[in-house]
Amino acid sequence: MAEIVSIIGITHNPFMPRLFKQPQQPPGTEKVKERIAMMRQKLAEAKPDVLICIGNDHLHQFFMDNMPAFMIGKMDQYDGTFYDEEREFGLPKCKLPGDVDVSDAIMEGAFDRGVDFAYSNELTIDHSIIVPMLFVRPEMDIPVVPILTNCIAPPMPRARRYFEVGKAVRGAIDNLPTNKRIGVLVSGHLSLEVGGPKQFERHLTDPNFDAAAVGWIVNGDIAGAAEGCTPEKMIASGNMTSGYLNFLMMMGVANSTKPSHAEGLDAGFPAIPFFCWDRQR
Amino acid sequence: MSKYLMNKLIHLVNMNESAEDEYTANPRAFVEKWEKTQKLKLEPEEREALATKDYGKLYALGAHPFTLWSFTEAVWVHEKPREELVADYKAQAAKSGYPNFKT
Repeated sequence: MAEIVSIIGITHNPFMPRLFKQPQQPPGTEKVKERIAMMRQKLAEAKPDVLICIGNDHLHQFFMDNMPAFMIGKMDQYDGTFYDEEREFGLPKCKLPGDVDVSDAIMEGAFDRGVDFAYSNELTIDHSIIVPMLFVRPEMDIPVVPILTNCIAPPMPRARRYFEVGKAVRGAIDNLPTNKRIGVLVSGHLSLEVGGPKQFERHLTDPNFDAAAVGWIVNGDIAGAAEGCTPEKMIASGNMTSGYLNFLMMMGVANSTKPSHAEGLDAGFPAIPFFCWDRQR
Repeated sequence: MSKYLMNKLIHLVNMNESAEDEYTANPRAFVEKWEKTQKLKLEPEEREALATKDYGKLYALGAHPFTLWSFTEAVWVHEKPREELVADYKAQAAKSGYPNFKT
């Protein structure tokens, strides 16, 4: 039986890898780098054989001509990233090994638990997986299973559904016909605005949402999260705040247990989320 | 409203270097040529906003904000310093608040 050895939830802010290389960095950057180093260390110590990477496509491979709600990659190797992300963020082209057997088993296991994933045999992944990998496993040497959501292009599933999909993924992981050590790496954000009047501001976008959103995860409070994450409330907290929904899937994967670390770091940027759970029994 | 088709052109220009180059060189000609290849049609004001790289108007018409910003930076940054572009984009967007970008 497979075992979850680590669950990490982290930012996928695509500007940060380039920022970290600049000679002059804004105050607060050091705190972000410290937290990232801590997560990198935790993942290294957990020694996962496979990383299930939960993130969201940003209108790259997902588009409104054929929009899945939840999708799983089934490839031996994944390419990252797209031309526009090299141009805008300076992200590197990279390759990540895949584990098709685990992809298949999770997809089939999710079917048995009432979740019908879309799947892809030709998937290119964007910054929602590339950036977390650059942060916590820059070697990119652990086979991955990408699970992508639509959490930015409405209409989207209800908040509770992300949690339920996470629970189904957890059930599928717990019943994998393998002894592999499973790590789960989830990316998303707290309140955030991109492409709206409040974008690129050097402060928390909505501190009240951020505090509540961390609290829902700490307390495993899906009822509170569902009430606080209606489309209208999320938009009011920042037009891309719905990227938080990935973390509700993470809460489902963690079976609503208490994380060993949970914060929305205020470092002079929109809040930077860091969550982790150590070995799950 | 054909927000979908407006997003489709923005998406193409944003993600494809040769489309980006062609559009940037002559936006109006690019939009006219591209629309002829599509089954759906743009509304006149959407067509005009795309032909003039009018990000404030595209935002107001409900283009997806995430992609719209990337596109705007790509097609304007050679003409306007980035800081100035960011400030003007935000000011233009603020005039319309939060248009519904659901398609």
